[in-house]
Amino acid sequence: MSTPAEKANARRFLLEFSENGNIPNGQLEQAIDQANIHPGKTAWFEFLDKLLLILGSLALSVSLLFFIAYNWQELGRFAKFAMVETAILLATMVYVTRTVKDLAAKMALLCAAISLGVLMALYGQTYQTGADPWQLFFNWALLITPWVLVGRFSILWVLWVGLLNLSLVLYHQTFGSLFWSMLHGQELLWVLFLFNLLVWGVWEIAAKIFSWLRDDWSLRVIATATGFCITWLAIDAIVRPWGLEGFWVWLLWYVAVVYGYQFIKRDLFILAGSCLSVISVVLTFMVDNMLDFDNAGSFLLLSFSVIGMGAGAAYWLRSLHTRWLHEE
Amino acid sequence: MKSNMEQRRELWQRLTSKGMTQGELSDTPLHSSPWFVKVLMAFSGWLAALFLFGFVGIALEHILESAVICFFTGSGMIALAYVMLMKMEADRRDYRVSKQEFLEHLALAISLAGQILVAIAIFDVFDDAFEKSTMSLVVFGCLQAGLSIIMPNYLHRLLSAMAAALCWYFACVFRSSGYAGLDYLLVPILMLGVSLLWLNELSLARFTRILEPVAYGLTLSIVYIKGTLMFSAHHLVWYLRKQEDVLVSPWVGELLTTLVLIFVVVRLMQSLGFALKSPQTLAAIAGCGLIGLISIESYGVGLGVMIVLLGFYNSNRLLMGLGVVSLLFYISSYYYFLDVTLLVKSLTLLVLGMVLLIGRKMVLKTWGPSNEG
Repeated sequence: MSTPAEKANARRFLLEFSENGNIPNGQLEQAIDQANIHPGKTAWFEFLDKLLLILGSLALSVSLLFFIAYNWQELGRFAKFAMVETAILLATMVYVTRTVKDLAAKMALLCAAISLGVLMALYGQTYQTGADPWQLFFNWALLITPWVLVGRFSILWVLWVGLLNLSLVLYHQTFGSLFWSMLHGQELLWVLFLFNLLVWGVWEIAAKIFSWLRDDWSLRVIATATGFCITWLAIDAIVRPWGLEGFWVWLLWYVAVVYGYQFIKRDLFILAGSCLSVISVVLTFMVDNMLDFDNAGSFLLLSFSVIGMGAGAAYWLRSLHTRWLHEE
Repeated sequence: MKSNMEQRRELWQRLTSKGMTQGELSDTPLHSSPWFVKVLMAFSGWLAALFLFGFVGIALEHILESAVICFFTGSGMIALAYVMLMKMEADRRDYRVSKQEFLEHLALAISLAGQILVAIAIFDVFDDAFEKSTMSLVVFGCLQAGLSIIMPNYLHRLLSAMAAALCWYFACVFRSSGYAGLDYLLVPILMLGVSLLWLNELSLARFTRILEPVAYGLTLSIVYIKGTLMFSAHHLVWYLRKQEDVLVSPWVGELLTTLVLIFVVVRLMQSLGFALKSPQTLAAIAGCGLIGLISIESYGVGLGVMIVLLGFYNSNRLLMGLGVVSLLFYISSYYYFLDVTLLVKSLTLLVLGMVLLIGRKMVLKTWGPSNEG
């Protein structure tokens, strides 16, 4: 039986053959059957099993979240606590009792982790603890850490990283002004960049040991967050007269990413992101120094520069893609 | 695991052994970039077009003063881009690997800047005021629809198809004679078109260079429109203060959306060999009906489910990913939907969750590998 990746490739190749005129008109339907592109009953069964489970569990967790957020006065606080705690208990029991830790078990743990946050919010709402908002998310991340560690589920790790990012942002909103003079108001971006860079590095190393962490998309989300922060810092360094630290660190990051994801681990998505980052930084520099609203030539120059950079990036990425296709 | 090129050769040999191929297999696959490279190209193309438009606006200031000159200059730029892209498409077919990225980007930027000029001319001709923009939007949408077929470039076709759908959507929203809720009608019509394109993608594989980008463009536009409807439609009606003219209510739109979802599911069940009146198909229809009922409250769930199903059917992981992301977006942004209280939202999601999990139990019971016959 073909894997989903093989089916996806078969689709691509059949479309190519047909477009090239390699498949006679009358044979197309039979060729589609032979290529085995459309999933059969067993594949549909497995897919629906996963889809309904994931969507159903998420809908129930979000439903609980909305219910608590509504703060229904008719329902007493003990009933609310009982409701949320029962949800956590049930979800945890599903995880514990399943001997094989399959997707259903992992989704149950994810629901338990989300519901724990709801419980903490309910606690804050009921007893008006006076805690800062960052504490809610930080403690939430802290309390689900054991589950994240035993869960062997990359989405749980993304939730954990996301909660810590959120608590950093909220912490900055509360205490950020204390550090204002040190980093020209960019301390939040620096902290987020360094934190996500650390997570990114640790994830890459850990993924060599734990196969369940080899999930490209989770890593790409973290890489995108890191790239966004450092690109913004580089742009800020260019347009403001406060020093070029952001730019130099960005340059270092860029060289490391291009080298690492071209020669050590192949990932075209991250390389495409780095190209976007270069285009943004170079263009900012050009706009800052060359754009003149009375001079039409400056607009033309910028237009051709963007076209040149975009074309260069596309050529490089396409060449790599084609070469990797042949080598894989 | 086999490499991509091995899989390609293997498929070719399998088809050849059954006498289903003609000609020779090329050494290099036809040029196709991953989606994120296309996004990068679209981004830089648009940015370049804006600067190019700035150049035209400053250097040739008088062009913008006359709608006629604007129209002809814009049309000329689009025609120039067409000729450039046509030449590149011919080269692509001959040499397989395009080495003309700069010209491709340039053509894209020229065409987009030309379209801005044509849009200015069209709006100038048809409009005297904001309320009269309907006709301009319809005409510009038709122009974009034409470009999505004619222009021999994947990215251009995708952007034009998307622009066409969005123009028609905004034409419905800013209808000259008052808001009538026609946008709620447009979404299921577009959904039907998109589902037909994806369902027949492989049967129409010969035209894939045209149909695939158009299908993606329309899919993206519906995802966007559905999100916009969720956030703004009711406020827009309030803003325009013409509620008495509303012909199509949101629930009618969702009902039609559900009918399209049912159509898709029936076609998928038929492709698996289930008859229309088989218990499995009837159960699937009932499930779609329930999802449709929930979608009246939680917009977009039906659309997201449809995109995911179509993506899986075609083994198109990008489409599936788009469906999953849109579903997550619709469910999470439901929080900000102001028309109902959080209690109602919570109950809606509770019912949705129960329906999905009960549906899973039913699938496991009636359709599990042990029951497959």
